[in-house]
Amino acid sequence: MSIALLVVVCLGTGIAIRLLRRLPRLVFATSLIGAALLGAILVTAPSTPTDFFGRALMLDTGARAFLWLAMGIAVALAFFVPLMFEPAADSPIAIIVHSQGAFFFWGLAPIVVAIVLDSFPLAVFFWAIGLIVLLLMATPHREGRIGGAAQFLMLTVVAVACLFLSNRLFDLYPLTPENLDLANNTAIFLSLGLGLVLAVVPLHIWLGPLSDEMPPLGVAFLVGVAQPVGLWLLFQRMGDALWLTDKSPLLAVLLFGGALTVPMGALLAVSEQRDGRFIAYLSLPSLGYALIGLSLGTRIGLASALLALLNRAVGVALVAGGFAFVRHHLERRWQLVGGVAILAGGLSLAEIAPALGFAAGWSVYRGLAGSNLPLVALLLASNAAAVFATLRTVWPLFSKQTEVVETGEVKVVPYFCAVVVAVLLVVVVVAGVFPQVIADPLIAALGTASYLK
Amino acid sequence: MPFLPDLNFFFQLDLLVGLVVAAALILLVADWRIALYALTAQYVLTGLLLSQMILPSAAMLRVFSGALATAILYITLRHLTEERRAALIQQDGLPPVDWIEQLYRSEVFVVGFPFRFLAVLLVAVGIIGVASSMTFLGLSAHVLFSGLWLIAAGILVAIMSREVVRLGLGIMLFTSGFCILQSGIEPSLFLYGLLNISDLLLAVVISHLASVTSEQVGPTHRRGEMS
Repeated sequence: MSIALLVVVCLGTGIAIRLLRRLPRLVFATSLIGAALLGAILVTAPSTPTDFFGRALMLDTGARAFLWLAMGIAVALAFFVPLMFEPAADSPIAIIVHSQGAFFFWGLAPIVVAIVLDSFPLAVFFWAIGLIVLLLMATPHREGRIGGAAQFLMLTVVAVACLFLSNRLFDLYPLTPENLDLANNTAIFLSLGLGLVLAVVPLHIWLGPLSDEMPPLGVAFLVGVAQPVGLWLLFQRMGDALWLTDKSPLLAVLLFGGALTVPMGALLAVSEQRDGRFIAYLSLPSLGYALIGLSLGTRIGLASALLALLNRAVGVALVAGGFAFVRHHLERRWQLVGGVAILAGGLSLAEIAPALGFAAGWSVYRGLAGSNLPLVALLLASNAAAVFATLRTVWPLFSKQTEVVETGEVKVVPYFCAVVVAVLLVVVVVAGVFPQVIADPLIAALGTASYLK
Repeated sequence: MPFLPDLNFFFQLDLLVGLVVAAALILLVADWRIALYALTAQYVLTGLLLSQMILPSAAMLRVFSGALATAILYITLRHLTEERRAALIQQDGLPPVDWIEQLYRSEVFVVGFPFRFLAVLLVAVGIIGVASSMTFLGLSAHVLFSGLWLIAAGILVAIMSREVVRLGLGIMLFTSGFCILQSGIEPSLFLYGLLNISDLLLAVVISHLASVTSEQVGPTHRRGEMS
């Protein structure tokens, strides 16, 4: 019942935002009401499983924590949408931009179901629905021609097919445990399916073209809210059967993918000037850290993976929110607020202390230091590149002295959004200084997975 | 009735040939009207094939969802064609001599007909070889061939297309092929129903991507660059 309520509130809030899209203050208020309702339902929701067409909707500690993350970041991004409001604009593109919050809530609804379902194929299906709904925000640059969004749609369908096949092989392997090909094929299809949607290097080729066709906040939703669900499903799958990590090269594939993703993401971000691509590429190092953390197969590795996911979500929300300030409010004070948000988010994504990213990275360095020192050096160098990319982006914002003549119009929404930026900043720093506050309860709930050493 | 197995063989053969022709038409013919007819025929043939594997009433769901998805794509393409027709007439007051060519047979693919024809032949021969020489999760040869053929044809269409809607037809072919494989290896009717519903969402998203275009950016900006 509680899950159904969460879904209904998501859909209802989305519809309300869509109807009120011409009134930015009311859009902000609607997002706030939706957030309050979602929070209240999640706090009071019982942990007992609910039947769903013969499957169970499980609201255990892990799912609850993941829901908090997904809902919190989705709501934060929805708060930033009114910053992009332009009163005179009424083109189809403007309607989409003003309604972004609606798409966030609509995309969140199937993602909520995917997080709490105990069936892997059904969870994959609902996850894919959430990803596909997001594409309704995309705006191709040439009419009728294939762009990044269309490519992503095709790849999502292919990835879902791979994951369904991996699920069937996963069910079959225990019947013939001597057939190691089944175990290997399960890992191959699982890696391919998740690698495609998560944009793990070298399967990241769609990420840039898609970012060109999506609003920056939409890119942030994709990498901060939608993609982590794939890692959640992967972790659940790894916890379902020991043989998946024991008799297949899945952990090695995760380590390899993570080791490629961190430096490649940082390098791509260094040379990037487009907002959407910058957000997408800067989020790749955190994804790499999460993959490496999972590949370690230890509790501390799992903790680092979870912290990296949280860091990635909050970091991209800060950067995307900062860009919303910078691109749409040219007054000096809002430029500074935007610059600070981008700087804080970027440094956190670059795993720099005292941000949360450093705590995630530190656990990975400790796990790798004994066995793979060159990789640690590569990760640190990648962090330096990500820092450089961030500084290169924000430097002009702080250095330029141009002052825009203010119209005298009272703008309330930027003040509200500045508060959201402040809250996200506090989360990044406090969670970075006291990571155990988050990691300990999560490890207590999830650390019993069979694959962990 | 000893001849019934033979009749069943011919029925399956007809279905396979029909699926090959339908998918090949989508890849070979640029005219979107013929492509939509071929897609509809593909859904009917897939429904008939599925009726041998699952309940016929459930198999009909594939045909219904396919018909709705095709209708969504038809409305979109019709609208886009009307817009193009209006644009062509506005240029000089009269429609150009080759306006049929421009409206219905525009540059849909990135490669020419001979290359596409050879690609179809190559993929068909490859799939025949795979389906006749190996087994996959206990699927019969004709089911495996149908599923793999539609999946491969869908990917081929997606790779060779220049236009979003044609890529969308490729996605529809892919999902049909995968639906056949999934129905053969997974008995869950619930998942089967969800897959059919997802086709409608896919058609809506394809229509959206085909009909919405962002404003032109300045000549000094690259795509996606805002500053």
